[in-house]
Amino acid sequence: MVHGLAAAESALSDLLGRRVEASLLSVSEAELNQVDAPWLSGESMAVALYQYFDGAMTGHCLVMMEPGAAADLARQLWGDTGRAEAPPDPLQDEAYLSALLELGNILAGRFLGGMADHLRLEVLPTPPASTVDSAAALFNSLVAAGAQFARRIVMVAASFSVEGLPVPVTLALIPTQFPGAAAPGGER
Amino acid sequence: MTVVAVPMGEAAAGGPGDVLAIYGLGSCVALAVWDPETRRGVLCHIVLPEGTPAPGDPPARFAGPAVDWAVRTLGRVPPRDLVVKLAGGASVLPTQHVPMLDIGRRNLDAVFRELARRGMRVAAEDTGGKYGRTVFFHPADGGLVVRTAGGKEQVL
Repeated sequence: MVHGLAAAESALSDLLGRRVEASLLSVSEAELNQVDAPWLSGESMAVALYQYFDGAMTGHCLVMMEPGAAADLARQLWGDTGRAEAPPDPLQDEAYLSALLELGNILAGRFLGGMADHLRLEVLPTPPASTVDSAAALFNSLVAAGAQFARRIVMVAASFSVEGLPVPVTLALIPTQFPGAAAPGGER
Repeated sequence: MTVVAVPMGEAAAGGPGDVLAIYGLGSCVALAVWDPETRRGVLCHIVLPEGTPAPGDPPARFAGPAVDWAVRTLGRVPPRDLVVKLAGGASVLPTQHVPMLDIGRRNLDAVFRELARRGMRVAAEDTGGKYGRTVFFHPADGGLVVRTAGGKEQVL
């Protein structure tokens, strides 16, 4: 996990041209139906960046951010910070969403890549896609997709500090095929 | 009123004093089954279209066992006399490049198939689309309140 996070930190810093510090807050592994989080029993919104990955290790990866933090980050990516006029709502703007997509590509892709390099595995992520919806619906849809072939999920809570601006990120990873792992326990 | 949240794969039954809720319904399907005479109802949070439940699995992990559980729980009347309402089965995640991940559509197909096998018809539905939903089922009158992530609300 630390290797993946360090790779994401470095790539994000390159993209923004700013100092970025990543902190790993927690890592947990659980049965798919045992995940508990406050946003699972509410209607809070999230920005999600989804990637399917293939190769020696296959599975699903979802990066979720609180919309306000994602909007702040999108402004940073777009260089709007400090402008006199208020920028448009980044989450309603194609260009900002595109910037966020690039961020998701880096976060998920480099995170997966860092882990894969460390494990000496080849991982081939599909192009990322972004969406905004209720956090619970996004997460539950990820779990349903993963539950076809897997029973466990890895949850990573991290925080990226971009020039002092904290951006909490939740990353959910469901490996559906992993070398040396037992046969999938989903659909039987 | 007691609000009972129904997690993924679970199902719950309630009476006139209860509200059964599913927060953040994405590709999963909310199956609400109501007995108008007793004003008792069941809400199932169905995750996958098909499969064989393992020991310890919750009752609504798969469509078929979920419908069975609902009918069994409200077993006083023939299945065809129960009122069925559906919500969910959306494609919230942008997974169009991996068609087999379109669980929402497959879930809906499976639920309709399992209901038809038992002679049960759907009285109302708010299904499909690309957005999440939160549902509140009121066994007092059989109403299924569906709220989308954007705040739009309707009663089925």
